[in-house]
Amino acid sequence: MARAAKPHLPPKTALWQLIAAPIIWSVHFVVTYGGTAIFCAKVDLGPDALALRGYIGIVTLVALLAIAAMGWLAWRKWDLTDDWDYIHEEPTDEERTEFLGHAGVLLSVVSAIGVIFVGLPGLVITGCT
Amino acid sequence: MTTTDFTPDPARISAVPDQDRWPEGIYPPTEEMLAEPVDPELCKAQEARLREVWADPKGWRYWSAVNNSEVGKWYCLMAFGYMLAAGVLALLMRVQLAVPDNDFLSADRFNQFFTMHGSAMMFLFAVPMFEAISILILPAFLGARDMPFPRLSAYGFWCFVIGGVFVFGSIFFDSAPKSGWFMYPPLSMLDGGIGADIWLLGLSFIEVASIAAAVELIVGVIKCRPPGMRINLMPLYAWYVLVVGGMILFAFPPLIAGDLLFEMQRSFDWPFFDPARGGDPMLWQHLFWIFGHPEVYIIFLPSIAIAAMVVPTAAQIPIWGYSWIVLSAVGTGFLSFGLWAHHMFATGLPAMSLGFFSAASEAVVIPTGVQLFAFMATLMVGRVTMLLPMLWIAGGVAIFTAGGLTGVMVALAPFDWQVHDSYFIVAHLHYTIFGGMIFPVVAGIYYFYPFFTKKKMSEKLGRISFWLTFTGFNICFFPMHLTGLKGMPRRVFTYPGDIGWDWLNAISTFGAFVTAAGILVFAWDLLRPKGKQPLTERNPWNAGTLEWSHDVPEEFWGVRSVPHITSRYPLWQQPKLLERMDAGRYYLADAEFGHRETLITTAIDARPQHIARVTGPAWCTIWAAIFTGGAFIFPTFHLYAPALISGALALACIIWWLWTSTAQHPEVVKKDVGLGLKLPIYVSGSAAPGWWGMFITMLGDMTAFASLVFGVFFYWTARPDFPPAAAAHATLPWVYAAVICYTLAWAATWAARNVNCAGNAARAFQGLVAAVVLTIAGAGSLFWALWGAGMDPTEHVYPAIMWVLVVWVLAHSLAGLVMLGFCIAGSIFGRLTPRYDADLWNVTLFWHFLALTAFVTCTMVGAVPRLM
Repeated sequence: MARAAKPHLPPKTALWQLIAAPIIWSVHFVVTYGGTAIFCAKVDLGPDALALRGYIGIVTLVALLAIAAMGWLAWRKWDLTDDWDYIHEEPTDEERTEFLGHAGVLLSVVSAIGVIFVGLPGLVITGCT
Repeated sequence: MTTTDFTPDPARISAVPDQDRWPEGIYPPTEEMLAEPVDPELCKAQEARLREVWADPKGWRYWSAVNNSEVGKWYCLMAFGYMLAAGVLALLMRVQLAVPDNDFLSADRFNQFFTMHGSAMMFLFAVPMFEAISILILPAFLGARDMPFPRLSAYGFWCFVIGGVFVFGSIFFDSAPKSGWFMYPPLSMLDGGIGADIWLLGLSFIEVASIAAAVELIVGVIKCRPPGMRINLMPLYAWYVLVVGGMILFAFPPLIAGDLLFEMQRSFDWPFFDPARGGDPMLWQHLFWIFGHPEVYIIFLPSIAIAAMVVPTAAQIPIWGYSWIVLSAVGTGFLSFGLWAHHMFATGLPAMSLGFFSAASEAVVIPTGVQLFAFMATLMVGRVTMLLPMLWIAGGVAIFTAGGLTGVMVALAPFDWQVHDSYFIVAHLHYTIFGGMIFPVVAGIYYFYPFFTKKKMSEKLGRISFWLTFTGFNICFFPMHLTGLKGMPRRVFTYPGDIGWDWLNAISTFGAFVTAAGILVFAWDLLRPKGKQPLTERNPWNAGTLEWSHDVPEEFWGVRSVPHITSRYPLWQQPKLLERMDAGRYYLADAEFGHRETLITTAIDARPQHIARVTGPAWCTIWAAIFTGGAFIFPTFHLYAPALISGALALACIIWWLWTSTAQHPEVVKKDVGLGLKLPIYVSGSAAPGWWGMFITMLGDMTAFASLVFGVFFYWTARPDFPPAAAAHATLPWVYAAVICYTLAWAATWAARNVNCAGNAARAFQGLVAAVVLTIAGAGSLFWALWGAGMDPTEHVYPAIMWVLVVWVLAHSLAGLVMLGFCIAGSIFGRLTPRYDADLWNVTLFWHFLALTAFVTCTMVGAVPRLM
């Protein structure tokens, strides 16, 4: 499994990249929830609350794009297609990087599902009350 | 042969030759080096020195021990004791509910019992038990000698003992809290006794201890791994500890902030939850559940972490899907913070908001489920022996899954409205917590018992206990789903006999006693004297992880030598490891200077960085805990002067402890740790565990502060009259003055650190003194900005919340002043020099956070209300 080092991959890798996608999920959650609280308390929304739902939609799209970007970075680190390695138990720089990439990809997927779930009420619920 | 390639941090300007701070020599070790035999005479001499350094104190001094093995055991037993006590309350409540119209307990006593049952199980058992077990076993998983801050663990433990006795003891004086474990206002505000104060202050005190343990555990996982244990090789338990430690940092502070608001209202009539003066009880519910829901996962994840250790051993193969379990732990850790309002579906939140929380509650099932599938996959691939711990894990997973399924149901708001506050919820939460926490923890105790005590528990009693507990649990709690669907509300002390609840309740009570019998069998097996029993073999389950390299009979040094790790299951995958560890072939095999030492390695790749000297037995931790207890307990009785004195004494103890035993100047710059590697003993900045401890503590601190800021915006959205049109605002010129003073104080501290690094100690001293003066000026300006404007915190919630922010900054300024004073004294008495500057690095780090806090506060009191 362990092979020659790959010069095109970053030699160092930071823990924060692992949790970048779930952090985006958290920010998305806070922004949608906080925004909704403010819209519902301070803005006259009209019958279908389109302003609020548009806001949720846009925030959700932005979050999904950001997670996709993080997922892509993680996917590059994982570099699955070069050796189809998904176990990463060797004590090498390569395996460590691939592991962080692998976990990062999985977390991006879960975060994306979380963002979609949290955005869904904006599609189906038509007002604050 | 590779030499180390540690590159100095270019950001650090230093007059000290960098070589002094960096490792030198060979790393990683080669096979030939490891194969070299150790001289048996030398080995013996090393063993004798290590044994002496790590020995527990004898006689009554035993209680001053701070070893993770001792503190961990006390902690576990104490938490278990509280669990039994809280369980007795549950049984008494079940007796009361066994038959309709019963008068075994009065309504008032029943209220005290259910409040104490929930509070004790959560705050005195579940969370402390996680900390206790982790303190006990984490160093062994990591091949470390001890946790990075042993005295902090001991301090946390003694705080827990004192706080727990205080809170639980109130039940014997008929003055226990009785408003439910979530203490909702306005009910808890109207409660005239001191019960609510006991709950608030006593549990805040214990929460502080929990945060201390979280800091310790996070730093332990990040910095105390053995050389070579890269992040992709870490035992899964360590991953879970890391995640849960992080969760504690973000979950507990909102509750501490809520407690602060709550106690300010109860003691000083600041109207945070009083609608007549602009307050809102809903803020408490938010802050409580921002803590309360992650809390469920805080107790679930470390327990399932035990399963992640037991399952591979039972299957005798490495875990299947390591990355997936990491995903699961981290993902659950995050998503669990988006669920809090599902406890508040019935409070009239906007429908849209209900949708978010409902959706997030469904989403969290995904990562939670993934780890269970990974366990099942491991069991399917391996050749499973039904070890006793595995039996408990299996039972736990079955029960937890049932609780998870009802969780998916109640996560849907319309269904929740039907069963809200009914026994259906009681059944759901006990299924998740019993299955997700109690069963795995018992499994863990059976599994790790030979490691803790070098003896074994009885296989036969264990199986009897399991089947009693498992069947008893289901007999007790399954009928509660039905009682709930038939409409029985929670927390009623009795009920009439003609509405079909009686026989279900009778069955539940019977089941409760069967469960209790099971737990008693376990308790007996755990505590019965085992003096005549032979010692266990070293690795009784044939497990693969490092804790089973322990010494039988017991040695207190943790590991004989700190191994070089190259695999996930070293005992399975590194055949000569154990023999070489025992021979002292690996790192740090000696204690030639007579200090307790452990290795510090880098966060990701665990390359050796330095040697940390950890603290030894001490009484100051116990005194610090006693006085800290006084500072929290006296205010319960409105005795503020003794509380202040007590707080000052606690501070004095802590300063003495820091001054006399942390970051001491070493005899030599570097020590040979073996295998051709020399490591520095004194480091500062982000290489030092103390810096990480400060950083992590301050993250938690910022969360509490953010919760107060959240409060301001909450009132703004929840109340049309916030801030009131005619309200007095903070005086702007004084707010500006505060901003300027705090910014300059921060800059002076930061500059002092830099010029000190560059070798100019005299200039650094001036910077520190300037920072003190500027802090006092800044604090005074901020105080006067509100006081001078005549803002009265008892009049309306607007001035009250502004004052709380200011009080928060003032209290932190006081801490900042003490720290600056510590550095000034250090520089006078030669403790702080350009070479030995760890204190100043940590204080500067604190100041980064303090400056941010002060700046945000000035914005919140000066600008934001004027814009609202």
